[in-house]
Amino acid sequence: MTDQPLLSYSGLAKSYGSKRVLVDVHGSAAYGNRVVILGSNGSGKTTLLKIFAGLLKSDAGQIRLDAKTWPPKSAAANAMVAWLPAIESGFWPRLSGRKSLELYARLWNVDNEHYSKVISDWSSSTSFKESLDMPTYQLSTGRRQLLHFARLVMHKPKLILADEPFRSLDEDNQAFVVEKIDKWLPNSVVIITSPNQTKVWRWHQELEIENGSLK
Amino acid sequence: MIRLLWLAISKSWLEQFPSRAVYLAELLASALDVLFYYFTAKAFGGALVNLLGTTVHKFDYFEFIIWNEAVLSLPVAALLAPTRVVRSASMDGTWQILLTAPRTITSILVLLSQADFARQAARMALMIILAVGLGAEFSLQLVATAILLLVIGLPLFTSIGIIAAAAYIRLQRGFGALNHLSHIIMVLAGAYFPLTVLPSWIATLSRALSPWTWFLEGTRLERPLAQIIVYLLVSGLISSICATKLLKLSVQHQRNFGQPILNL
Repeated sequence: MTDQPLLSYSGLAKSYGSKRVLVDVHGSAAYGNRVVILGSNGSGKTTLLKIFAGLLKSDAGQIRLDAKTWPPKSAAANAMVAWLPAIESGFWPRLSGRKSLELYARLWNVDNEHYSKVISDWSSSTSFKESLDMPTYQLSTGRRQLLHFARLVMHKPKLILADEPFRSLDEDNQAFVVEKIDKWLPNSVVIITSPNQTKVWRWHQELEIENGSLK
Repeated sequence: MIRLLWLAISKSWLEQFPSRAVYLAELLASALDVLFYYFTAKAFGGALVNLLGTTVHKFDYFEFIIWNEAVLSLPVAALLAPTRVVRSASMDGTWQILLTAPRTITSILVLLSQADFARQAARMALMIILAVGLGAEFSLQLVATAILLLVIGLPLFTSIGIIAAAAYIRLQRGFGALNHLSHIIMVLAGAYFPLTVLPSWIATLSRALSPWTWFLEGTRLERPLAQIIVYLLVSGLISSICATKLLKLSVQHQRNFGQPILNL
């Protein structure tokens, strides 16, 4: 943990054709920060998160992650960031939860020991445990989200980016996820988006996107 | 790496064979194909005896068509597999996540595409076994040459598939056209009848431009093996470089404009 922010960004802008979505977005997040970005539908929350994830290129501005320019030129550095999209699946439908997690873990070069520890620890949740041996297409959206959070933890990222991740999780599972992320990744920055105020974490920053800028 | 490949094969296998009924359907489809070729050869194969007799290996028409379809199925699958992987990853929502992996997207596509070959390899083996059961004969030399050329040619054919996937990502369409192209490639490679029955300019163009034609003629021992190996290696190297570059450009374009893959 240092005084230097893990993530800093300035002058970020993005337009889709003539529609300006983000204008001069700037800010920073220190190690261990939990950040929520609020905003109505279409306000640019997902666009900003995708820019942080390297999935979208901003038209202007710069991002620094762990004192280095982001996104990186080398794919290997992608391991610093974990991305949870606001999509219904994100898993291979016929594979079981366990095999899906293992396939992701192998693609992310996660070592066996860490993989097994995460699976074992997260299996204290019945919902999670039951999801491991079912094909993911049979799982509810909430259960798939649980698996995704385990995936994020498994990758040991410095920055977690999750697009509206709690909308399908009940309160017990929300508390479970928060507890596990705080336990496994206490120093990582977590940034989530939400259309409404949420008390899932005790937020270090509650930002709101309005007219393309963060407030 | 072996475990990763095994998981990728499991994924691909489960997608293609979700139940026992599909195994049965696959078996029946292969058996029907083989029977169809067997009786077609019996009825019309005589007309091609002279043309087929010019090859080093004395194929009858039944052996000729079974061999071509089986041997060419993997290179043709290599053309389609990367695009199929991108398409299905877009549908199941894994594409976005894979783009954030600490590996190049080319290496991920290659890995998941190789896994897609498991089914084709099984189908290829099944067709040859069924054909042998019906009296076809394939020498050890033929089989060994085909395996060698498949191994050496896979980088080339996969690279062409990656280039097709790059075009698919960039243009956001083309999977249907790619399927049609695969049929045209089979015909122009001489999979169903010898190239000599086609107009000479088509045969010349096919031999000049299509690596699938070279490959197939190589497996039938119609060209010097060393020549084919050098051709596959050199063009494999060049196309790998092009494929990596083009895929990177397509993904970059997707990042610049945020376009999803729409043609699901």
